[in-house]
Amino acid sequence: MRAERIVAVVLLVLLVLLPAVWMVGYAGFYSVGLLGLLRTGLTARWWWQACLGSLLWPSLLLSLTTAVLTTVLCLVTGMLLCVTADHWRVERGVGLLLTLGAALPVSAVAFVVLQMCSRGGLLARGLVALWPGFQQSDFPVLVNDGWSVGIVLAGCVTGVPLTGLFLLSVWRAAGIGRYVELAERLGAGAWRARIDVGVPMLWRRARLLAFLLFVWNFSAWEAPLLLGRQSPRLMSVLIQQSSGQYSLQDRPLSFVFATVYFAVLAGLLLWLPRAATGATGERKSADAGGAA
Amino acid sequence: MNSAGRAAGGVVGRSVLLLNVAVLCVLPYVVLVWLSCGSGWEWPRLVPLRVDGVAWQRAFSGSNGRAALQGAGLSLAVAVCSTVWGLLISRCWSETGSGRVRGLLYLPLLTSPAIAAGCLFDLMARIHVAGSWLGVFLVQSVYGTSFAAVLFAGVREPGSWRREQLVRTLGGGDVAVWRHVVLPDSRGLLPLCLFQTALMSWLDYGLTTVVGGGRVQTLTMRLFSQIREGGVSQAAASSLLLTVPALVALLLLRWRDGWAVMTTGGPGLMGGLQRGRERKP
Repeated sequence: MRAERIVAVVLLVLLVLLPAVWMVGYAGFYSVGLLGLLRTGLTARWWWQACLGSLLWPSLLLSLTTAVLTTVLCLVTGMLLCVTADHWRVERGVGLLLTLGAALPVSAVAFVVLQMCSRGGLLARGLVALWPGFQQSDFPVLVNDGWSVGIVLAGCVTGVPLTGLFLLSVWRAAGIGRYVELAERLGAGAWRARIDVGVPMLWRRARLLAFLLFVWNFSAWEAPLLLGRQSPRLMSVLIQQSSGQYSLQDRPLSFVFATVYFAVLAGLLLWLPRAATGATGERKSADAGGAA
Repeated sequence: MNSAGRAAGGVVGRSVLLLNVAVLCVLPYVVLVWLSCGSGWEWPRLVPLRVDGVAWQRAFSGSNGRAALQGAGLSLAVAVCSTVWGLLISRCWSETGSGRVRGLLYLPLLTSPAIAAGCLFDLMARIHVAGSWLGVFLVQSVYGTSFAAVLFAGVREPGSWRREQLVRTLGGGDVAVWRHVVLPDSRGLLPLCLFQTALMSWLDYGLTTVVGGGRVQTLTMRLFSQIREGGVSQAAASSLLLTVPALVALLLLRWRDGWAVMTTGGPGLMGGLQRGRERKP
């Protein structure tokens, strides 16, 4: 027991705590000039430069809006699937489809979106074949565009299967269909019963997933790397590319961006227990209702 | 169920939704197969100039095949080690751990691999493992171990602790505790954890590209090289090759547990965690 505990504590420190503390500490100390080859002693120079520059805020705003939009689209699609598909043979039909979608890696999805939606892609070629006189320049810019359409699309292709599978599983596990059926017997219409009874129950249990999806979309890297613009870039791409890929002088700036990223993440993590408690509390009350 | 007869949305609405989901989930496979089966994709051709299996021949040979084999070996090592280490940590943490430790355990899981790798690169360089397989294995294990620790800590219940005390009272040692309490308690989650951590390593690009410094070649690294070089057919074949293990793992898990929620990439880890929570009695 004692030996096992010592091994576990050593592993916990070396493999989890040290890297976690190192990541945040290294970025923080580097950004104020206390670490690295370019260290100058304690300085706020890099922070001023980052805060007054044109890179950080547009990237942060773009990352947040892209993450919110993708998460909302995934959740709405997943909930629509639940409220309309609860009578289907979800295990064999929709479930299998969603499992196929869930197996697609982000990098493969980003590649497919690039090949489909770029101006030289398959959609544009299809329009040229179907519509005489259609030019390559007539096709809308959907990839590497200002609105991040490609990134949101790739996020949806990877996020919808997970959201759908999860929400369908919750719908069944919590027996939400029974509550909807009860509401219908009491006179509510099919839509009203689902929207007023099913969706709120589903949402209470899906808050943690929504939070995690949002964080994942906020931290996305592979898809923005292939499908995003050079300016503004999403946070992950901005941090990675400015950490010495083009100029070593930008390296402290990249750690300022990383510190801001960690601060946003920490703020979100503070919200995590509330989301988790909401999910657990709802489960308990639902179970109590079922038992009653 | 009675609601079967009074479903919301109408036949047309349901069909449109199902069609959209089907397109979203199946179309990427169709596109990848189509792109991989030929070469010569000059504008505005919808059909390749030559329909051949060259991309597939190359996918299994030379540097691509080698990268796939090396990546598979790495993901197997990461999966096994992360699962064992996570199981050990979860036992220690669930006895003494606090909310702050939980937050720290979640941090690597929620951090973008590219950013984490950028911050950890210097640490790896200081211990002389940057640009090596060992360095990539270590940083991937940070993610895998955190995931496994959080996953297994979620299934630890007061009953386990009492059974462990009983085994010790009856004279059992650590081995007996693991044999009669720890492994039976976590048996349901072991395949999920192994598959998920293996997939995380197999599909990782951020950690490998930064910490590996281009010297560690996995299939994902090859895929991005092929995309940058404009090798459409080759990249499509590599994408499919990358997808096959994930698809097999997901179908196996689904066959074993109809409600399994697992997917590739970041939210997949989260889906696994949620599954662990759902299992908790």
